[in-house]
Amino acid sequence: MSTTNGQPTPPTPPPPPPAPRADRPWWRIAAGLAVLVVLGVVVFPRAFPRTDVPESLPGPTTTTTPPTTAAPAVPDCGNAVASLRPTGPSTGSVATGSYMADIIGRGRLRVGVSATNLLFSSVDPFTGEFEGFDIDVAREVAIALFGDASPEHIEFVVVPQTDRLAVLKDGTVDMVASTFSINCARRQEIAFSSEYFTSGQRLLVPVEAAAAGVTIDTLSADAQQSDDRGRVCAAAGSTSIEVLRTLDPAPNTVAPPTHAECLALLQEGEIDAVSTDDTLLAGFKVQDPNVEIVGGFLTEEHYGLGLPPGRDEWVRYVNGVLDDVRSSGRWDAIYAQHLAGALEPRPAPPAVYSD
Amino acid sequence: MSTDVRPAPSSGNVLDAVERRAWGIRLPTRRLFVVLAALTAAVVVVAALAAAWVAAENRATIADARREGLQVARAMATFSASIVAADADASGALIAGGIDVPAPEKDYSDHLRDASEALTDASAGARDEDVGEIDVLSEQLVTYTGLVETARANSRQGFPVGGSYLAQARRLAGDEMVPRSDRLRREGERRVAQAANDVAGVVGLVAVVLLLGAVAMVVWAAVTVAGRTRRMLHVGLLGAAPVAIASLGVVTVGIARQSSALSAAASDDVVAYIAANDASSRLSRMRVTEIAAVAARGGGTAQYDSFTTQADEFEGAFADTFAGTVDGYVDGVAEVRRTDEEDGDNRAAAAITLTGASFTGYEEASAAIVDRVDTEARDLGDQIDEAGAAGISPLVPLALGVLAAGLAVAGILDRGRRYR
Repeated sequence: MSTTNGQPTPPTPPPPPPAPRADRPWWRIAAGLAVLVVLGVVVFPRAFPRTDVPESLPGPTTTTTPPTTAAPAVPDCGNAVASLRPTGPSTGSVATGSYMADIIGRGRLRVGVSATNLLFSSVDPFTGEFEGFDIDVAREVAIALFGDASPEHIEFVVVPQTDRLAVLKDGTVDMVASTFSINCARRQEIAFSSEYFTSGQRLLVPVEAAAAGVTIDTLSADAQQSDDRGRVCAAAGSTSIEVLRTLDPAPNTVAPPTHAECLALLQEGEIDAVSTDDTLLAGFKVQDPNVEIVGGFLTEEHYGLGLPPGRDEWVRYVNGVLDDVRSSGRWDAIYAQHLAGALEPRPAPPAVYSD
Repeated sequence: MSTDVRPAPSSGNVLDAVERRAWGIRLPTRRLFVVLAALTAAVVVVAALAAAWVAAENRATIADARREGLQVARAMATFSASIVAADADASGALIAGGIDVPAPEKDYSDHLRDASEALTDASAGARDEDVGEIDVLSEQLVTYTGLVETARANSRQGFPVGGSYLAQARRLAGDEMVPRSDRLRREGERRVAQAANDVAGVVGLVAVVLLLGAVAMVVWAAVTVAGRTRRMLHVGLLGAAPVAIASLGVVTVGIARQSSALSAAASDDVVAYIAANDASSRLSRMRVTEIAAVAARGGGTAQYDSFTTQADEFEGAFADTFAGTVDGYVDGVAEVRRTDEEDGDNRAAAAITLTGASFTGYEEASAAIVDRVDTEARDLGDQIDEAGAAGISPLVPLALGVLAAGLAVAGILDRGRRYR
C-alpha cells in the first residue's frame, strides 16, 4: 500500500466483474470477421459461377495388328487345277437362259480386278484405263460374248484381295481376274477356270542385298539374331505370309494390308525383303530398279479366273475362250506385251479338265 | 480527459490474457485515435495492396489464357483442319489421270502452309509440356509431306506403289497427327476455362474479403470516433468510407467482368469455334471418302455408303449452324455415284468429282465453312480481348486505398488533436 503526503491512500475499489462475453470487443471483432468470411465464401461463388473445365483428350493410340489365327486345314479336292471341259467354241451365240445369256442381256461383263498389280492389272495414270495381263485375258472373254471389249461391254470393278470370294458369291461380278490362285479351299466356295498362268512365291531384295547373296535362308538365320533383322513382308491374310510363317527357321514377318505397301516399306528401309508371287514382284521391280528378284520358288501358284459357284455352263464357256487364247497365239502376244523383260519367258500352262 | 480503464477478467484463455493486457494499457483519447488511425490505415492499405496484386495477377492470367490457351487451341484446330483438307487434295491425285483438274497442287500447298503456320503459332504460345508434342507434329508434318510427294512422284509414272505411300500418309495424318493436335487443342481450351476460374478464384475471394474488411474498418473507426467525441460527422472519415467502398466495387466489378468474359470465351465461343473447325474437318473427310469411292473404280459401294453416313452425321451435328450447307455437295456426290455405279462410267464419275457438280458443291460448302471458322475465330479473340479490357490497372485499387487510408487518418487525427 502506498502513501501520498503521509495520508494513507484509500484502497483501490475492487474491480467490477468481467463484462459479459457478448460485450467484449474480441467477440465483436470475431463476429465481424465471420460476417466478412461468410459474405465472401457464400456470396462470391454465387456471383462468379465456376466454368466447366473440359476433360483432357487422349493422344494417338498405337494400333496393334490382331494376332493371326491358324489357317484352317486345306481340304483335298484331288487335282485342284482341273476344271470343266468346254462344250465347243465360245461365241456370241449362247443358249437361252444360260448365265452367258444373262450377261449379254445386261450388255456388260463385270470383272473384278486389282488396281495395284502393275503388269497384271493396274490403271494407266494418264488415261485412267485398266491395263495388264489379267485385263487383256478378261477382255478376250468380253470379245467372245459381244464381239468387242469396248468400255460399254466390259466393266472393271476393283476388288480388294480379301473380297474376291465374296463378290463372286453375291453376284457383284461375273468373273475375277486378279492373279487368283486356284486351290481346294477356294474351290469349296467358288468355281475356277482352267489355269491360265503359272507363278510362284519368291523373294525381292535391294540390289545390294542381291549382290551379297541374300536368300530366304540367310534372312531366316538373321531373324534368329534379332527382331530388327531378317524382316520379310507379305500382305496380311495372304497365302504368302502363311508360307513365310511356316518356314523353319522363319524370318521376322511384317504384314501390311496390301502387297504394294511392302514395296513402300522396302524402299523406306523398314524391311529387308518382300516375298510373294513373282508376278507381283516383277511389277515391283518395274517400279523400282534398285530391287532384284532372288532365290528359287518357295511355292507354285496356278492362276485361274474366279467364277461364280454353280454356273457350270459359264465355267465351260470361259474355258473355251481360254483354250482359244492359248491355241490362237493370243496368250503369247499378251505375255509379250505386258510381261516380256519383266519375267523370264514361260509358256502358257496347259489346260487340265476333270471331265 | 482520460480513457476508462476496463478491468481485466480474472481468468480465461490466451485471448482473455491479451484482452487484459490491452485494457491495462492507459490510452488517452488522443493516443487512442493515433492507434485507431494507424490500424485503419494499415488495414485499408493492406487490402488495397492485395487488390492491386490480384488485378496484376488477373491481367497476367488473361494474357496467359490468350497465349497458352486460346493461341494453342486455335492453332491446333487450324492444324487439324488443314491436314485433313490437304489429305483430301492429295487424294485427288488417285483419280486425276486424264482429267484436267483446276490447280489441286496449289490447294494442297496452301493447306500445308496453313498447317505449318499453325505449328509456328502454337509454338509461340506453348508451355514447356507442349513443346515436345509440337516438335513431334513438326517432324510428322515433314514425314507426311515426304510421303505425299513420293506418292505423287510414283503416281505420275504410273506406279501403283504411289497409292501405298498415300495410304501411309493418310494413316499418319488420321491416326497420329490429328489425335495429337486435338489433344493439344483440348489443353488450350482447358487453360482458357481454368483461367476463367482462376480470375474469380481464391485469390479474388481473399482480395474481396480484405476490401470488405477495409470498409468495415473505416466504418468501425468512424463509429468509435463518433462515440468518443459525441459527434457523428467527420469529414475525413466521411470521405474515406465511400472511397473504400468504391475500391471494393471497382475490384469486384472488374473481377466479375473478367470472369464473365473469360467464361463465355471458354464455353460458348470456344465451342462455336471448335464446332466450325470440326465442320471443316468433317467436310474434308467426306471429300476423302468420295474420292476413295471413285478411286475404287467401280468397287466403291462401301465408300459411297460411308459418305452417305458421314453426310447424315454432318447434317445431324450441325443442324443449327450449317443447315443446308452441304446439300449441293451431297447432290453432286449422288450424281457421281449414279454415274459410277449405274452407268458404270468411272472416268465420267471422276470428272464430276474433280471438275463437275461434286467439285462445285464441295467448294461452295468449304467456302461457307471457312468463312464461319474465320468469324468464330474473330469472335473468340474479341471475347478474350474483352476479358483483358475488363480488367483494372493495379494502380486503381492502390490509389483508391491510399486515398481512403489518407482520408481516414486525416479525419481521425484531426479530431484527436483536440484531446490531450
